Amino acid sequence: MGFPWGAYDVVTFGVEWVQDFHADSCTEPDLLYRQSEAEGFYNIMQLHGHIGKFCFGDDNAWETDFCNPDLELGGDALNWSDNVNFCYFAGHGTHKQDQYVDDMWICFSYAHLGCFAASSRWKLGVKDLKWLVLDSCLGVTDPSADSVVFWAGPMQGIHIIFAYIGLSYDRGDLGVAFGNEAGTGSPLCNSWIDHAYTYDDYDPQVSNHPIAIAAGATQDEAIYRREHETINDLSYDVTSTSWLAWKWRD
Amino acid sequence: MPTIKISAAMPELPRNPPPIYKLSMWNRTRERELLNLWGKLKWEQRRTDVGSARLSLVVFSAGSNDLIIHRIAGAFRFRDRNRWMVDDGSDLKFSDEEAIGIGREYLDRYDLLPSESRFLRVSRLHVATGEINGKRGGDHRVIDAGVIFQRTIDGTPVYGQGGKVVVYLNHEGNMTCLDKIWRPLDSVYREVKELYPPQHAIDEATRLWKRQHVWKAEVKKVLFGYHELGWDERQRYMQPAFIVLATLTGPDERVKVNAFHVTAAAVNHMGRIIPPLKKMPPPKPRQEQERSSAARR
Repeated sequence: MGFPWGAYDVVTFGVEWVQDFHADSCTEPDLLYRQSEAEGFYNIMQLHGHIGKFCFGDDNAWETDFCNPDLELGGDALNWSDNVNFCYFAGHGTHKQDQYVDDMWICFSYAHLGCFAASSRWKLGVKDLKWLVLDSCLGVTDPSADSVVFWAGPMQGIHIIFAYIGLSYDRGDLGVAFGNEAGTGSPLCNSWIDHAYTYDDYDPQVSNHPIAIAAGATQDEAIYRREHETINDLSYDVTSTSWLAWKWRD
Repeated sequence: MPTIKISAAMPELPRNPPPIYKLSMWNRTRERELLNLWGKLKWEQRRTDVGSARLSLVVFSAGSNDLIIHRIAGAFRFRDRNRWMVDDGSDLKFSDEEAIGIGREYLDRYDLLPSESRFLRVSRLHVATGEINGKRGGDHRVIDAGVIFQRTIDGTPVYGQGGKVVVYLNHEGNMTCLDKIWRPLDSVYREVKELYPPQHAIDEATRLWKRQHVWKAEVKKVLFGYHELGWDERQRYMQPAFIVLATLTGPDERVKVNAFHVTAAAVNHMGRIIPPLKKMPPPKPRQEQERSSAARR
């Protein structure tokens, strides 16, 4: 008896989730399923033998855990999000885009330095991080090259980012399902798109449209990661983010 | 109290309310029938329950084909691991109409599309690449089309992740995957004498949004139909429901999120349609967690 995808490597991982916000600071609408998503991922990954390093929720989740100390004073990513191979964030996300900035922000309920962690303060993958899930709205505003390429800045060694296009629904069945496949050696991008996509289509304009963005020094490398990368590619480093290859379902 | 803006028309309700059905449970006979559908393949059971109460999977494999059965929901997926969602450099060019025709052919061949269904939409899987320094985008192609059919019961649509059959096609029009989440009906469990008005669903949603500290909610659609849950959820009854779709906004309007709220529509309903959230323990203070994890190291 084996898993359909065969044997797999053991990885380290951590999750952060935010669903209860405060009325007096960092105020945003509360969410319902973020804990269930992130802890579902945490539990199933552990069940498959991977090493959980942290599971921080609500006020325990800090924006400093994602910010690189070179880019933000007090940034502590090297001890948290970038100290694991796989990191899963579940919470609110938003996008700031104007002629000066193109930034994704993830939202926190407790301001260590601020209520948001902006992607322009991230250096994802300079240490150990290979895969980041942004289970939130607005990982990208749309799937065009113009909208996706801003991720090349924060992607500094990370292999793949898993996110959503535009707004998404708050739901609670993704963390377990994605973790179950990702953690047993399934191709990562396809697993994300498969499980994060929703058929329910109450309205095509507001369904969940997942996207997976892979980096590579060459186009072929980025495509390889998008199509085939699994957790077994842990040691196959991205030497430079010169190309991105992405995949999405509409 | 959140500001509620309703930009949706209220659904028309049927003169005769649809009944509440009991759903029948998955059984091994049905599993054998499924395996026989692809009878030429020599199935080997690869994996059973992975240990989580939320997943009750059994995976049968034959070469690169998998038949994945979600026993809790009585749902299944047949896929070709080597071809489904895989970019082989091709570009799928056929139209939605052609995709629907091919999808129907496959479903008819396996007798998997019940008459009580309707075409919902075609979803497409896209791939693209971009060179960063050259800011060059390109190579945007479509590599599969998923033709989605929605269940209806006596003409009433079934919403939710369940109540769907999806056929995925590659650029040659070959089926690479087939999903079906379609819990069999057992019998009418209870006739429905009266339905709540749609405003009832908006009021219920508003109460929840108030607890969620929502600043503003824009109700974009209110639907009436049945609601069927997804792959790994237990469901005993199929009952009429309202589905309220909204976009929720925070105080500075910077943060938005989509939300749906499902409410039982029958006055004599069988309880909640979406299972209540499991009470999860609140997180321990971070310092405590950090100390215990340092001790483990």
